[in-house]
Amino acid sequence: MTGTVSAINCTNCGAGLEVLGGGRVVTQVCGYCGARLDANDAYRVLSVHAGMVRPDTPFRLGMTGEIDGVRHTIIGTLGYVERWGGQEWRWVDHMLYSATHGYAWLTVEDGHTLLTRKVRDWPDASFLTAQTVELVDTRPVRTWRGRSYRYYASSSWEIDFVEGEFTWRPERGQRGSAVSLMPTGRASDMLTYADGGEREIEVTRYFPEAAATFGAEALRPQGVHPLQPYEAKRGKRFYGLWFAAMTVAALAIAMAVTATSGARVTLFHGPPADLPAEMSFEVASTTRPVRLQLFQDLAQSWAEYEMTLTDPAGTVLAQTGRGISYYYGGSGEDAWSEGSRFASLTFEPTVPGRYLLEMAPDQVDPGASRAPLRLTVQEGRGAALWSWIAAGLFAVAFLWTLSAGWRHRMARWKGSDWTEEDD
Amino acid sequence: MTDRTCPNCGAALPELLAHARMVNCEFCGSSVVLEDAATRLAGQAGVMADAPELIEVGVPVRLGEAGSFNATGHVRYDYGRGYWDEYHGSLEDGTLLWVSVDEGDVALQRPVPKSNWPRMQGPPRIGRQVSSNGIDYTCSEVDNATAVAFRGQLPEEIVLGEIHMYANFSGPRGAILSAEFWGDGEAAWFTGVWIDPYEVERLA
Repeated sequence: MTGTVSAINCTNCGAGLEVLGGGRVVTQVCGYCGARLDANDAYRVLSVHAGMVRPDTPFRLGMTGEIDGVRHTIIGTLGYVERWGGQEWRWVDHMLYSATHGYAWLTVEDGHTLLTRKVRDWPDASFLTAQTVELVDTRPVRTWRGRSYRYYASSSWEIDFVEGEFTWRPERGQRGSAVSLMPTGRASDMLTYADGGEREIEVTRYFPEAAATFGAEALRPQGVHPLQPYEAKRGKRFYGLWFAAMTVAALAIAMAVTATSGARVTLFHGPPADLPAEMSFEVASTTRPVRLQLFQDLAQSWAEYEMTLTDPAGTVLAQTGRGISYYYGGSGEDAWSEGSRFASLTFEPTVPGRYLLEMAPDQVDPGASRAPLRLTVQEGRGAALWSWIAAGLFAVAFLWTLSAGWRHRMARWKGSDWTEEDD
Repeated sequence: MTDRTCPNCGAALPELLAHARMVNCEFCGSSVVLEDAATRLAGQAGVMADAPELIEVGVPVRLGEAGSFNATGHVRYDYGRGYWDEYHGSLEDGTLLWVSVDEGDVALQRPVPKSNWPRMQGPPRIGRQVSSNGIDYTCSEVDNATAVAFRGQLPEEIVLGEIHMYANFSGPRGAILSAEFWGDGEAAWFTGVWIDPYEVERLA
């Protein structure tokens, strides 16, 4: 517990420094001149780190706040940097002090805030270091307080800013490493094996209320933090049920339309040259469209056909042409194709009765003249395609909503440096 | 209340626990040592400066998995940079033990039988390894401490103002071993376990 000293003057620059920590504090670093002072030896100067750049954090020394009902004071600030593969990651640790509950850490990382405490009851099995992780073939797992923690990542850090009071002797340029593990499933705390001269095991939890607790300016978290628990967005249940209901409805409509379509009847199947000049077919109902479909198994060729359709009353409903062409090439990822082997003519029947189709080849590529042509007619044709598309889109939206928790967990583990090959 | 009285002010002493060897007079603040049928004045009980406390004498607390603990005595030691508190009391099953509280480091401690005391050549120093009951410990702290105040009832006499050397040793999986050495060659060893301060819950 702290003694009676509440302020000192820096023995290097004379600046007044508050003494906020307790009896376990061994180092105080002056925020004005960067002098490291020995709290156990009349605050003599250990070294001076001038020109340190203060990291971006809304928390300041002396701020107080309640964590789990216990008042804590911010007594120290450390800026960390990790460099690897040309990239740089930065985070800030603030040392916290409570007269009754001791010391803890408040971390600011990518706008997220975390709370870390030292673990006394170490997990069984050996202490994990980055070196030991490199040597193992299977993903390291440790059990702590009945829960299994799987390896997440290793990091090598360097301190580049230090200010305030600490229970150890941090200094700029000091290096260390850490190995972190996380439980599988929804739990979102992290077990860290820290090796920075002394070996410690720490447990960290997500602490989004830190800014409000300490009266600091609110932060803007970026991305999903590995420790961030999943919180279902408002209305997720409603939207999930709504998308599910719409999927079922669209499926039902699509199936009903498909089931009630008439049978497909072949009017002609053979070489184009054998096409009869006239073909007729019976239409019983005028409530839904009728489709005439052409299929020709073409390869690198094309064909065009003239079509004249007349209803039972002798009225010409369509006088048109349909072309079929199909070309392809390449192989593997470079494969391509162009055109379609299908063409169709869909019409609204005017009256029930026998309809007349006059059809003849117009221009046919020599290669197409040998390919058999099939002409079918389907009565009571419904536009089920759009219902199928709607059902698909609603199903995707439903699955997207339903998988929000799973996608969050995937995002949390995205930063793991353990590759599947390692498993 | 008891039929024993304070040798300083004559006030009746509180109901004494069977194991009590030292009690402080609630009226005049004297330290009273209990000697068979007699009492002996041992000076004042010292100043217990106001500070937030995790444990208080007479207020039962739950110490995590260890269960309910009721402190009946409280000693404060000054180690220069600050101080720590030691509470003597009993668990629900009547087991007597000490609980040490130092800035959130809460340790439940029991005396080590003399047969299991580590063999140590010379004074303790940081990094030194000792073995007790088949467990290896490494010394993590050595310093001097002064008993500055006490309250309640204690199973042994504490001389306020007396300086003793203490040493803390860390073992596997949070196991702890601590020792106290006095100038007259007396020593005491304790083994213990850490209690998460957030699992210390007041029951009253």
